[in-house]
Amino acid sequence: MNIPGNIITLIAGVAMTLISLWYGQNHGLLPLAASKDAGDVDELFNFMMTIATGLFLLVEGVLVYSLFKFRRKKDDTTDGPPIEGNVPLEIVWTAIPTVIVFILSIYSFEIYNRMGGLDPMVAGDPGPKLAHAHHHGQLVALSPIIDVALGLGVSPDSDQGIAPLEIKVNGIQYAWIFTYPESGVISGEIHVPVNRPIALTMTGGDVIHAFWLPEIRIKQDVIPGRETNLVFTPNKVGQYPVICAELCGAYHGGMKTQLYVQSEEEYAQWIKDNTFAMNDNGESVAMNPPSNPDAEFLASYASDIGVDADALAQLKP
Amino acid sequence: MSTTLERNTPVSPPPPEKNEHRQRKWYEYYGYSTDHKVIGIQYLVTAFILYFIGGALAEVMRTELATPDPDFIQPEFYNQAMTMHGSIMLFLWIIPAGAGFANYLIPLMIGAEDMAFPRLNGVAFWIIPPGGIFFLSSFFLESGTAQAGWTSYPPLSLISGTWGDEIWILSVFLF
Repeated sequence: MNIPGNIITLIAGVAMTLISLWYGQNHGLLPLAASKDAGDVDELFNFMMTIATGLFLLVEGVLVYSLFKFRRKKDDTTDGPPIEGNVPLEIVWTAIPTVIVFILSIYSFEIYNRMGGLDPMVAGDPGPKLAHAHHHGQLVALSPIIDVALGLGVSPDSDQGIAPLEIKVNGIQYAWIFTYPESGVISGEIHVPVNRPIALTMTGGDVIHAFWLPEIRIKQDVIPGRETNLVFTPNKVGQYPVICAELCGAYHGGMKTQLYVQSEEEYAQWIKDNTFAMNDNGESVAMNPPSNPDAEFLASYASDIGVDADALAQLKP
Repeated sequence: MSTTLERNTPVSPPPPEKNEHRQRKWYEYYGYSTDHKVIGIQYLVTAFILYFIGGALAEVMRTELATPDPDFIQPEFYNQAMTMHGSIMLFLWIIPAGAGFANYLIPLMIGAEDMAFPRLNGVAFWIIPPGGIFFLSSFFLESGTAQAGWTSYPPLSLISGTWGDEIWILSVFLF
């Protein structure tokens, strides 16, 4: 049976399209998506994956096909025909990537906007703290009024009714410190209520770090001397990793903590358990009653901190 | 026509030596040469040696990563190995190897007699071996070599492995 070449090409093209569309949705490469933004990012990633799969199959398919179809015949030592230029073909293979790049850039820009990347209120950061030249005739630095947006602000189509929960993030060599201005809680883990926008204001204490939440699909450099922002709305209760994604020194690999997305009640309980009382000077003091003898207080932690009962008994108040 | 004219002009120096069709002695490959093919081979061999050094550092890292505990090397040395691996592979392997292929092949492909500035071309190669030795010598510093990654971002590169990073940046200038 002799099937015409254009029919075979058509069938191959349809099969390739279907495989790309299927694989673009079923590649299984992404971790759990735990925020609204994560859905947007995944949508963009799947779209790019579909295009990439199609191009991969096209290019590799033609390559492998040609390997077999145009193999050198036995005892054929002649050169191939000298092919030089093909204007329509060159226009086509320049135009296709150009169109793809345009679509991808417009689409990714749209996603970035939806995530709040174009929020004009982001950071309010006056830019790097440079000395400004005010002498006559000298180069005048950029006015500090022009804010340099760093990070993600509030998504334009988010529910504006809910005030975001503000958390300050300080990245230091090798830990993340989270401060809750509303309650004064300071923690090494970040606990947030589900379905409420979280606004992080981040700065670095020593070197550049990067605050990465894979399950929320956001990552932002944390820079000493500047503020960067992230706003996200977690929508799935769970425990997710927080990772430093910028080499920050010898123990960079250990600079990890956990993001706990909790229900409103659990979050309120956690805040209550961790609230520090303010003393008269406005300094935070621990709520744990100091009247407890050390030994009594430490007893429940004895196994965690690796001391035995004998060592505890020697602690005299 | 233009080439004929050029050759007859007294201003342009004659080719340093007739390089074509001459059997070379083995030691000529270890010295200063103006022949683009010799320089190409010098680049490729030098780059390949450094490629193995960079690869060995990668092996050190993978061995350390075989278990989660820091039981083969210390975290500081891990970052040094990582920084030097990245820097060697970029500055001392990909770039010189590309220069090697370009030196060897392009004059042949375009039918030129040699590269445009043969003496400069020879000097350019001879910056690589001492530069590479200088670069690698920072491993023997007491404070270790650079450990701030191949991007060497300032706050970190200023506070960790300071002397190593000093040598790192000088070497990168040199290359």
